[in-house]
Amino acid sequence: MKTVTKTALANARQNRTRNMISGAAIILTTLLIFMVLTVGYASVKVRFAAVNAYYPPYHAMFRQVSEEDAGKLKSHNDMEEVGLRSDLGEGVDDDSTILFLWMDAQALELNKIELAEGAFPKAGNEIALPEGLLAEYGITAGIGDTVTLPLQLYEDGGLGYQKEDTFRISGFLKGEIDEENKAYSVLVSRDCLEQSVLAKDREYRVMFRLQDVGENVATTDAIEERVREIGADFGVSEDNVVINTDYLMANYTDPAALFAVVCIILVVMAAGVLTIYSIHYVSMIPKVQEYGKLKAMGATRRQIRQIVFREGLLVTALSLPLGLLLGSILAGPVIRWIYRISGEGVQTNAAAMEMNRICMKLLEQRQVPVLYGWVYILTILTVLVTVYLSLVKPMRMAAKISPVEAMRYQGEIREKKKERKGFAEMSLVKLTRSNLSRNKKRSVLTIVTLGAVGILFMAVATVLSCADPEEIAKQEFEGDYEIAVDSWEGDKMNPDRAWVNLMQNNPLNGELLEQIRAVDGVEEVKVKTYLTGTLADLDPEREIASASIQGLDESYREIVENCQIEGAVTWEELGEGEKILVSEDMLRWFPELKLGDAVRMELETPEGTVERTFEIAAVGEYPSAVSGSNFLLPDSVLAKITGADLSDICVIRLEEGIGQTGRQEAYTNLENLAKTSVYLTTDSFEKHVETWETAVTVMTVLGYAFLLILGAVGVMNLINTMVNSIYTRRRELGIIQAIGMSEKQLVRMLQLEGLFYTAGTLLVALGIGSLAGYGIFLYAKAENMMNITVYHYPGIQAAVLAVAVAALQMILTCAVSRNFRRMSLTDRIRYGE
Amino acid sequence: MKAILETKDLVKYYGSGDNLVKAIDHTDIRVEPGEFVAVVGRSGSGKSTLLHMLGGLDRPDSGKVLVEGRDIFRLMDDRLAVFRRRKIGFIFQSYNLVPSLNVWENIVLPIGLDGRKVDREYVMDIVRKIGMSDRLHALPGTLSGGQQQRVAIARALASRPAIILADEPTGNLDSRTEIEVVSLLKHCVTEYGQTLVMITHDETIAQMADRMIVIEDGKVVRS
Repeated sequence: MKTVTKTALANARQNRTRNMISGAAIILTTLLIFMVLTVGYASVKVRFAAVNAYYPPYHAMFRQVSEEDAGKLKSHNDMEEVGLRSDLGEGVDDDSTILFLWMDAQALELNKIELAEGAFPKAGNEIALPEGLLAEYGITAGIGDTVTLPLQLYEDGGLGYQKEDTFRISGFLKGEIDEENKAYSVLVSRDCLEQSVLAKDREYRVMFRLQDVGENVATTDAIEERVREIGADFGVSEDNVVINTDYLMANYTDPAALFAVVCIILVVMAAGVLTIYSIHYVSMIPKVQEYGKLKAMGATRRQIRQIVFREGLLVTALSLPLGLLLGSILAGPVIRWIYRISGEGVQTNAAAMEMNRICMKLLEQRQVPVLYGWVYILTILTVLVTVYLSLVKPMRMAAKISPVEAMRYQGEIREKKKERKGFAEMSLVKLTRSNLSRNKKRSVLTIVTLGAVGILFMAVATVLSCADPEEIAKQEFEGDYEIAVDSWEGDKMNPDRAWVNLMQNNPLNGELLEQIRAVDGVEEVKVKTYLTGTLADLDPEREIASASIQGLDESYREIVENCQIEGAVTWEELGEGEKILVSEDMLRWFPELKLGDAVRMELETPEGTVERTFEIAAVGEYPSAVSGSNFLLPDSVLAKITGADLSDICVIRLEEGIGQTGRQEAYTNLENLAKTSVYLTTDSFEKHVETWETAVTVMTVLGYAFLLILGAVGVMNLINTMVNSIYTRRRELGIIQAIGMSEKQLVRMLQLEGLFYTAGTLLVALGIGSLAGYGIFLYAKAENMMNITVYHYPGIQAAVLAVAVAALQMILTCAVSRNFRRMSLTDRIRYGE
Repeated sequence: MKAILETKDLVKYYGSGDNLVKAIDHTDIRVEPGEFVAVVGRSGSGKSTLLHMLGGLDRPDSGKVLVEGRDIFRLMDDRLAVFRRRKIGFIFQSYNLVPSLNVWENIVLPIGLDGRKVDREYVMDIVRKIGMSDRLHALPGTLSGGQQQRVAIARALASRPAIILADEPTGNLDSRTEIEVVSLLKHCVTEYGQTLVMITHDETIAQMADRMIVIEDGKVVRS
């Protein structure tokens, strides 16, 4: 076996050019696999770390727990850490709210409450409060000073009489203040709690981390189940069990992301296998004679296979570490770059911005490692498998060579054809044509492998070009500006947010609408109405969906009639109040649902629950800009169900050509109108565009960077083909030159050959790639990926691809032929004799 | 009579120091128009190098090669290629036909590279002489060695060069075919009035020439 290794080593040295090219392909493949794994895993890790730093780290919380039970829970066997909080009361001013609460040391820790200055309250009337609160009340005070604040204690589930209390400041709290809602939390001492609330009336929030999470209790679902069990033991009602979903989600892995990473790696592997295989296949031809000689000297098939394999392994052994090294150097900067760019896009969202800031900080201070041992191991294994797969065929080819055939072998593939019709006159072009047709299999293989990368490029480019931020935004946002009623259902803590309550005193009333219409620059105002309830037969518990119905005015007639993908119903028919249009999504959730079915709904109105049954007359596919509700009806039908004001969303369109300043002014005025009620929210088209712009930018850069490296793997293949097609023919080319081909003609012939590969590659890449891109577009559209709806052919990308491939080909041809010409003509003729 | 082919103090060395090989060492030869000259010498005596110099395939260290009185190495590479395809026809030991081209295409390739029209009658005349008129569409891989060399001869003759340079054209052939091919070659050059310089180490073949030049260690020892 030693001889086999030595021979492999000698071969590796002899095929230096080929091995350098295949080595470069291995380096790039390694780099890609490593980067995909590292960037994927590290960004998940960083996010987890940031979530841990940002969100309170308790697993769950029980509310309304008695003092006795709170004590028992503190010493419960399943608990790792338990924190207690009890709320005393509120201090309400004109527009601000102070929440007075007590927390034990564990609760402070679990809630990440930190001091900016001073100490936490220990005894008596000590308090710790955010400095912003003093500013709000116009008080200047330092640590040790006393302040007077309004306080209403909680009594019998409501607030008691307003009184004023004097407190001594023991410390200032760190952290963000909710400026918009002007809600401040003030920490009081245990003494204060005990003096203000009787022991039997004290209610606690118990926040806790479970024991053994990650070992015995692994998944989020398992944690939830365990939490509910403990809750049930202590008689905590379902409503009072709060699972800290954000925190749990961030700490336990999502299988979908894993699947995406595996897919990308498989694509890289496929490209790697194709390229390395093609490199070895193409350069196998000049080596046939050598393997034949080895066989004639007595090498067995197995030995020949081993020689080929070990030579490949040797190249891998040298290039794989280089790829890993390169990846290790690049990983950190790349991840930091991703977070920096994404940071610029989330400036409208405070929580996301804070998360991003924490991520950046963690990365910059290197608190979260970017490089992981298992990533190295997995990359090495993946690359080894890739190399092995790409060598299987060349190994078999080399082993199959018969010694007699090989010795006679002159570098050309044996012609199966005996005759060729040919041309009466010869020219450079005809010579090139005959040459290319000689090695049909090799030409096709090269074009297909090069084209494969091109196909991938076009597919990704199509998705990216379809992901136009403005268009995506248009799919999810109607008009320029929106003022909507901010309602949500099922929140026991905020029952006032339920739609049935809001509609009785709707802030989006006629008066406000008049004011909106009067704002300078407002061109058109439309109001969508809304009614919700329970799908009495389909989903009585509202586990999957509710009976949410959007009421639209006459101006949506066309949209409603055109969005139908199944069945058909006119605006008038819907207006009769018997038939309804259902969203396509509902069919996914309830596959048993079909046209003509009767859907029974229990709709919540101020007059009580109203039962209605509608016949499904059509299935509609409408963007969220039109409605996010499950059903559509003309607003007149909803108005007949209840007399309450059902106005839900006010869609505002500004005058065209209003200009930037006018637009900003109108937005400010509209926002001020919305501020008159806490139940109103605003949103603008620009915000949506901005968010998507960042998302698309990050995706675009990452997508193309990935393709660029993958493209470089493909280029190795091209270089190898070019080098081989010239060097294996050096004798033949020398002879043709001896009988009269000039150097200029030689270069032109090589360029013509290159042109053929270029044209072939582009034909495959642009032809199949465009089709594949369209297919992916249809898929993305059907799956609602990134809100893609309009197809854009990636024209610029296609042109760039064409120019890049052509330019590369030209440069390569020039470089290779210059190198080739350094060899003297007589050497070329003598070669092989 | 003016020489068609002449070398003046031609020198070509390879390597240096102990490894110095004097492939051509101050050689002067002279070939008259229409002559058939055999260049004879042992393996490694510098015959092939001399032939490559005569055909302008390689440049000498010093000295001149004159074709029809013109110093060919004063031409630039591309001009030299054009000169070569118009004035000189090469025949190599291992026939060196382009495998993807059929017999006819191989023969007319130099004419095509020169951008000239094929004189069909003239080329067909050659094809008939080499006895390949029924195999015009055949690919080289299907031909025997003798047949391939005959096609190579036809290729060298087709562009009507003044000089044919043949480097052991019969080296790969059996003795019967060998005589046949050389006779054919000789017949052709006589008929078309061409000059033939042929390298060989075969006495019998050399005897068929008008004159013999013997080379030893890069020097002409007899001419």
